[in-house]
Amino acid sequence: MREIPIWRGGRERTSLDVRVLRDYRGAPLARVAAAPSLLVHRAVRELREAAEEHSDLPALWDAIAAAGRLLDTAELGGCTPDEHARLVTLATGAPIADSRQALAELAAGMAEVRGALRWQAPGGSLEPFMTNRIEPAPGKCCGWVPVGRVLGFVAPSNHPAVHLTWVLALAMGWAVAIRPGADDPFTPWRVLLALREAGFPVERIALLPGGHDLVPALVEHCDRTVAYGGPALASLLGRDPRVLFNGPGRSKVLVDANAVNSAGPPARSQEAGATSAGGAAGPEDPVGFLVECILHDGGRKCTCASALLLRGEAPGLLEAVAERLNRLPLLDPLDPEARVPAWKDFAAARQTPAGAVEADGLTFVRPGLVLDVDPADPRFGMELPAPWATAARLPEDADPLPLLRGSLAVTLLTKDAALVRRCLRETAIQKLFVGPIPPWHTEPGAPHKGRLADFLFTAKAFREAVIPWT
Amino acid sequence: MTPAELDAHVREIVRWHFSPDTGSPYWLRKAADLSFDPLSEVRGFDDLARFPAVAEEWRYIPAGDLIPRGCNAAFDVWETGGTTGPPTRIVDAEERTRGILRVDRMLDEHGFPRSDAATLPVDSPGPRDPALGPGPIHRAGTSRPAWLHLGPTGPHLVGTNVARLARLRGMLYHTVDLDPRWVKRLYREGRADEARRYTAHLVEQALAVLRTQQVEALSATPPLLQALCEHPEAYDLLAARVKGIIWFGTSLSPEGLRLLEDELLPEARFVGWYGNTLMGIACQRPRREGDAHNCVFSPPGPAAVVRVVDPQNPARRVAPGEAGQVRISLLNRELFLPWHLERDRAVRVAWPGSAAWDELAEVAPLDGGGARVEGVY
Repeated sequence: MREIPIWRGGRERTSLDVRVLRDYRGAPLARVAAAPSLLVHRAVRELREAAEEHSDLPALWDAIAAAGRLLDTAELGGCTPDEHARLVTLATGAPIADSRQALAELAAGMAEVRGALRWQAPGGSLEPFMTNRIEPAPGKCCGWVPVGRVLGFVAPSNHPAVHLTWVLALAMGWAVAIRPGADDPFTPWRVLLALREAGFPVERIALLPGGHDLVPALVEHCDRTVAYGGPALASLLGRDPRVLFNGPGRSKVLVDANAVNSAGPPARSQEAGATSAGGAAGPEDPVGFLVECILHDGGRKCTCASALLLRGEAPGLLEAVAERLNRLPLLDPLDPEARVPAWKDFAAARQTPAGAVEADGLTFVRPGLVLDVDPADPRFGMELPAPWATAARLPEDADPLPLLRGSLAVTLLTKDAALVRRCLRETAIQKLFVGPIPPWHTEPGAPHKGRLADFLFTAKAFREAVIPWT
Repeated sequence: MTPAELDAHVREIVRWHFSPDTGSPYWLRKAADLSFDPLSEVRGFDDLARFPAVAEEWRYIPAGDLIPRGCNAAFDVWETGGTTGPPTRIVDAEERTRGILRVDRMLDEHGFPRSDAATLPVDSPGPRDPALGPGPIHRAGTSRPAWLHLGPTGPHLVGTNVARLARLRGMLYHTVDLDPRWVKRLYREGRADEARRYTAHLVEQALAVLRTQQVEALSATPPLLQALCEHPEAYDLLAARVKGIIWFGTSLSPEGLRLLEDELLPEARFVGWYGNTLMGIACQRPRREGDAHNCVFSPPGPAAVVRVVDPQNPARRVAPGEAGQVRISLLNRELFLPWHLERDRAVRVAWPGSAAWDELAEVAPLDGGGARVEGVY
């Protein structure tokens, strides 16, 4: 069985509190050390001291880039990239192809850390990270400084690529205390091993696996905290300005009939699973495109479409999407052809509105698209970690914006420029894509819920003048 | 205590509580509703399972109805935390003080601080809690170290228990009011920020004591102990002065305890208490070679007989080393509770007296709540 330790102060620590992590068949997979909440203030103090020294940021970036290359190629802690993906799949139920792809995605983001940082800095230049100064306009200069030193990171288990967020914080000179997700402690551990291998000063990282009780302690002791979670965590955190909380995404796709009708009858030739991983289906196939909006990464991302809105008449379109999702085979997630995640908790799966099905001793939430759901129905837009979504039809002249509010990501398949403008200005939509770009589209370092740097840095008046009277 | 001795104890206690001249109004009234005659049909411990669960009623009945007619002493009323509804009330005259004498002896086995002033032989009675019997007397002029209790007081017995213990050990009792029901309510209502403010308020009051008094012993709940360790000044004062710490009230994981003992406060002796107003105090026993757990609680049998049982079938004890639900029976002359299931899980630890009752480890709240998923995290 694998062992995942606590990491603090630049070294591994054991714990008397150990949790056995089980795979989706219930077999023991790993012994995960649990950190008591009492440890958090201690670990954060160590991080604060480690981050005290002046950071040679380019050296950190080089180490992160090297770590990114190792992540996807090297054996780390006795684990090859393929074995790692297998562990993540067994622990989370995510299809193996998605787990492997996600590791590659994370590795690429790290390898191109400078490019990712360019999304984050004002003006797209890396200079402000090093000089802590920005010049918004010629002759107008001010300071641009971190608002603290230690970032808390409450990680989810739904997708490994989220770990790029805390690596970016490291690249900005912050130290980070990570509470891994309950099901995937493997990915942050592997990232840490890669960083160590690459010569990154790993005393700037604390890995504290454990329960929800760690979260208030992290928020309290870290300067800022990024957290992912559901309603329970949301109510625990309240509206703390020190926290960037990522709750359910409830992402949506709006389809204007007049933007897809010229595509002709829904294509039926394309088999489910045949779409190229990661790439958007072409605009010539709206059905395949919409299926991928829902199905990508097993539907486990907060940016996967949870609802489709069809404005106007596009006969057969939604039905074809539903049918294709329905026909998805329920395969063991280790099968390279698998697209649908397995669930570890049958009771939880059964309580979803999608309903649970058992196949070959595994639990799945049946993939599907529920048609003609009243937008007032609580199921509308509900997000499940599964390729399951709801769809509503709107009259051609309806204003869809009220139904798009509260979405993390929105894709608009529309020619309505006014709607695009209004959605762009809408504060209750965090990510907007127009045209056949899926809501889960991402580029390393691009804004997700705002920019990480905007959460971790602030501008400050700063002006220097020569003292003339000495 | 052998099983036969336990059975004899059960028969004696049942006879006491159900005899018209010694029993309590509550149990004498209750006897009429029972489908069996407790006096003739309760032959041993296992027969206690025939009684219905009654602790729920103790939330509503006049507490005085619980006082046995055979007891002439003055009684006090104490209440449970009230986590699961209105508080459950018990009555106590001397029984819990006897429990404290036991804890006092166990603290000595742990090397827990005791003031030199309290070790003098005693012959002249002073104005003190008569239930304590002959206690220590203080030599004039000897300095008395302080004991800070950072936990519930008022209706919760633990505050008074610690006060009695501090006296027995020749220490001055300082306390800070803590209303656990208010804290629980804040958390229940999702007011974590208010709970944090309340904690800060308690830490501030504790600091006022720590700064000025010679605090050598501390009793606190693990969350408050954590809050003290997280406060730099409080932590420095604790590390410099405190020689003994009792933790109680909420669970502390083995790693949490190890962290406190080895890393945060290595100079202090830590002693855990498991218990509540109903059960009394199951004090941590000193460690022995080969212990599988770093904290093993020893319940106060036979006054309270504690066993770890299968939550699905509370009649079945789990095997030693297994986890189960905590079931208690109060079997003393002042109070009779045939059985009650605590909302705690624990690992059953075998000990020489296992046939009668269990030692416990890894106590934690029973897991509750169903699974419901919305969102992807």
